[in-house]
Amino acid sequence: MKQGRKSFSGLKIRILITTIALVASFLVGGLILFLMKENPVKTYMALMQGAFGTPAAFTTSLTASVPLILSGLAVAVAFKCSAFNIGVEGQMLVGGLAAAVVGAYVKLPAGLHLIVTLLAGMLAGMFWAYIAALLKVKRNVHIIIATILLNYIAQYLVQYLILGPFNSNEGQAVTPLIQKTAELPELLKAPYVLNFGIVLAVAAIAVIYLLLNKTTLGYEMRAVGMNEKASRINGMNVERNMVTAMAISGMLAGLAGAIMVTGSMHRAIDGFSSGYGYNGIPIALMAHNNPIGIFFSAVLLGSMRNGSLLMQSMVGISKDFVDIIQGLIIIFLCSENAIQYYLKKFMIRREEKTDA
Amino acid sequence: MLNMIPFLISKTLAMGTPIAFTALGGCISERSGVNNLGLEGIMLASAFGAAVGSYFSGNAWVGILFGVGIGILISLIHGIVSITFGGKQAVSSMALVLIATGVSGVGLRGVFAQSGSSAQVANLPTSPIFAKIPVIGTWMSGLSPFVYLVFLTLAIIVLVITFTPFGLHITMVGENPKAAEAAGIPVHLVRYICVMISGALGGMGGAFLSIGNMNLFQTGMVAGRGYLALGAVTMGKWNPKWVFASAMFFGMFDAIQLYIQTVPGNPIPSQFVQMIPYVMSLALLCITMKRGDSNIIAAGGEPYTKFI
Repeated sequence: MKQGRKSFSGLKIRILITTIALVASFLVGGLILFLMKENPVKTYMALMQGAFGTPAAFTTSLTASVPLILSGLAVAVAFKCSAFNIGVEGQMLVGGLAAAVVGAYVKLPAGLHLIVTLLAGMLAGMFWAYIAALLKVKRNVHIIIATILLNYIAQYLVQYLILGPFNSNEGQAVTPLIQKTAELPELLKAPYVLNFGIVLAVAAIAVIYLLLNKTTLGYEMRAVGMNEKASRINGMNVERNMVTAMAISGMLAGLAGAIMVTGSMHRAIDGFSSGYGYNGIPIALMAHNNPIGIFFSAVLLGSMRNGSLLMQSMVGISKDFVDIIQGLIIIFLCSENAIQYYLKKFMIRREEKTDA
Repeated sequence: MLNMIPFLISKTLAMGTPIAFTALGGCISERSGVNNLGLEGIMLASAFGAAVGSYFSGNAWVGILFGVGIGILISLIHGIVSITFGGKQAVSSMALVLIATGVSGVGLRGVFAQSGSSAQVANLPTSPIFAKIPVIGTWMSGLSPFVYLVFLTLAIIVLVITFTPFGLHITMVGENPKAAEAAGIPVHLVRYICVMISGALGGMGGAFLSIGNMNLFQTGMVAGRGYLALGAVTMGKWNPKWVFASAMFFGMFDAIQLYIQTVPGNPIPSQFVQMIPYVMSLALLCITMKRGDSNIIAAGGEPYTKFI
């Protein structure tokens, strides 16, 4: 019995639960398709083909995953400190715009220019998250409400800046192209689509992993997330940790926006994020807020996002179907207590059988 | 300038009503101990559901029923996860937003074969039964029936919470589920009913957006109003009367924004005008919230289940 419990904890069970949740979500999604009188197999095949069908499609999926990795990390870092940052979308927009402005208007030597541009994006994202953190700590405004309202404010502000002061004056809702010195280098030649952003995203995973698991700051942030009262009694500054977690979260979101601008679009386009920020939530959740796990869940959802375009044109199912799947994944992952309960029952029964 | 005041009052009621409906629902759910941050999703799904119902039946009242039904259904998902399974309520309710986004997007293509918005459907913009009242009759009949229903809903909720045993049960379940259970109150049942009420009222709010204020469904038409409703719940300190007032405040900011847009030749860029409701709401929350306010419901957000 004791042994059974031991073999039943930790990483293995988490991966098992995530897998069960994933399979269940796709099954329910398939059922929905079936009820809509569509062919689930055909739909999922089109989705797969769009995501992985050709090497070029696969690199596009990877590129689409880069902002998702960072937005998943952003959500996870804040969540570890029990701050639910659903403002990643707005922080990305602000960060992307800041990068577009610095990339286009500032003149610096190659290399340095790119670094300054990315830093500008990170700082802008950090600032936007900092406002929400400050409102929470100083004025006790619910962090979810503050971050979501700031998303809408960012959306209108960025739209104004793109249409107004920073418009490229070509009659389109875009900023001027950034200079060559601020562009992220390409890793592969056309038709493949992959830039240096993926390296930055993987580096960010490593940094956040080390920060959370090997530093005092990370330890304190996690402690606050696990038990606010106990952390306070033990002399930790709960408010400062929360603000720091939100600031790091905003920096990651801003970096995501900056990579989108310097890596693929080379300018800020009105409405360029289109929900990447919100997707960070299921990504972080699927990975149980584990930075390494986030790589896999982000690539999975990034591929689905990329594949959904082909699915929409081939089968005629809206690409928003991917949102239903994501919602279902969250639902099943939130039911992990029940899944775990029944899994345990099942395993114990099986063990008793083999013992007997 | 003379018609500014009636314009602002009408629009405040019109823009505040969907937030108030949804916030009253959220208030009931939270008082029973189930946090629901997915009010936005409930509104979105039922705004779409109401448009579909009205489209197929040609009758706006059927549309409302549809919207309310969808609201209850989608809130039940949250109910099952957070009440029975004891999942993280904040996270689970976020799934409602995603599912609602997906369902409305897929549904638009499926039902109306277009994206972005639905076809035009039957709607409920006015209340002609009040037209005969002297002096203010014309003005009163110009408002949607939803506006009157929301006041009625507020009255019912206040009465139920203050004077009925069920109202007491809600409070007990939200404050101390263990004690409530010991006193013979079915904790899960009460919480389920409250979550369903929240879904139904969020459904009214969503339905109002698509077939009360307008005559079609548009993607993005909820535009954060579900989160403003959530803000109204915290700002009103879980007291229905104050929750209602807070929601109407948020509606007023929307009305101001709409009014400025009608002023000819105003120098403010439209994006800043559209930003007004969000900036003002955030500012209002900053002024009214104080530290230590957030834990008024003792067992709020705490799961009560055999699975943990």
